[in-house]
Amino acid sequence: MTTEYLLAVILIVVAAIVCAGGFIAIYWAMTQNSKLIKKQSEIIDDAKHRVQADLHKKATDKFEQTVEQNAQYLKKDIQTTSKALNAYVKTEFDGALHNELTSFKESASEIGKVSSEALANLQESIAKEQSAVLATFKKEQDAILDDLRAQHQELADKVNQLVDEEVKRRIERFETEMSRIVSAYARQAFANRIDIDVQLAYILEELEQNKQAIVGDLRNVT
Amino acid sequence: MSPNVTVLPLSVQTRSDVARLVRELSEFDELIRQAGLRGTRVPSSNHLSVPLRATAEVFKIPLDNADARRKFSDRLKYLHKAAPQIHLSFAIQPPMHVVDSLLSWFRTNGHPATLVQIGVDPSIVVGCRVRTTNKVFDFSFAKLLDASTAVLQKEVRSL
Repeated sequence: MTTEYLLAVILIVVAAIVCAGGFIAIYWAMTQNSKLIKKQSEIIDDAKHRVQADLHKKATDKFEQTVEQNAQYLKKDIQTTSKALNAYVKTEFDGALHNELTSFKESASEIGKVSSEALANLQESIAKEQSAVLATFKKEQDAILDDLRAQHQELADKVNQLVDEEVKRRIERFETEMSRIVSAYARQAFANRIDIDVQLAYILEELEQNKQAIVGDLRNVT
Repeated sequence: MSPNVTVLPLSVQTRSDVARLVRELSEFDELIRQAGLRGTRVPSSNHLSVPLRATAEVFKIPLDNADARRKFSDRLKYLHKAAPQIHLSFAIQPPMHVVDSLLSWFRTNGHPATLVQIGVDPSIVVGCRVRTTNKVFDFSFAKLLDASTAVLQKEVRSL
């Protein structure tokens, strides 16, 4: 019994070990496989990049070459067209210009014939007008000069009059001031210096001279 | 009563002097009346002021007579009211004898009852200014100078 149990346990342990070994082997195999897959994808990406770059370069070269060829063709076409257009325009323009010049010459000769007489008349009238304007201008200038001379004379007379009046006024003021100064000096000099007894004779003399007026006024009052 | 027939003494010069005489005469009347009531001795007129006595003497008024005093007082009042007055202005206050001389002239030549009023005006400098009722007579040096302004101007102009 015990042996059976022991055997069973051993079998179980062996089975466990086998399972563990299998698990490890599977895990290792998967790891290796994933590494391989990763490496393959890297190689594929690298190849993809290289192919793309190569294709891009080839397409670019081809496109440029095609564009250049088209440009050459277009240039040649434009040159040809412009030459033809120039020739056509030159021919047409020369013809039109020749016609216009001919008509212009005819018109000019006709205008010259008509305008020579008008020009002579115009020059004559301009000369007359000019002489009339010059005469009027000279007349006005003379009038202005006469007016200015008259104004100048009037102004000079007025200034002379003002100067004379100012001189006279200042002289009068000087005389008045001098009189005032002399009067003030005399008043100051005589103030309280003359005895009133001496003045009495003078006052009585003045009273005698004005006696009639004084007495008349006194008697009129009474 | 007319002031033409009266002559005031020189001691009575101004209207105030006349008023003073009237007042003194009234006081003298009152003294006499009171003495009569009391039965005392009547005061003598010798106690009155010199101007009053001189005026009474000029008017020939017996001051012992009550009626004469009353008439005298009336005359004085009339003179105070109606006598002509002269205003004299001097540069300084004049001495009494100068006023007497001038008043004598006015009373001799003008009106015998002329009264004066004395004023002082320094701007007169020399001389006097006489003002009657209606007129002014300027006998001052200032007036002479003012009148001589034209002469002064002429002299200055000739310089």
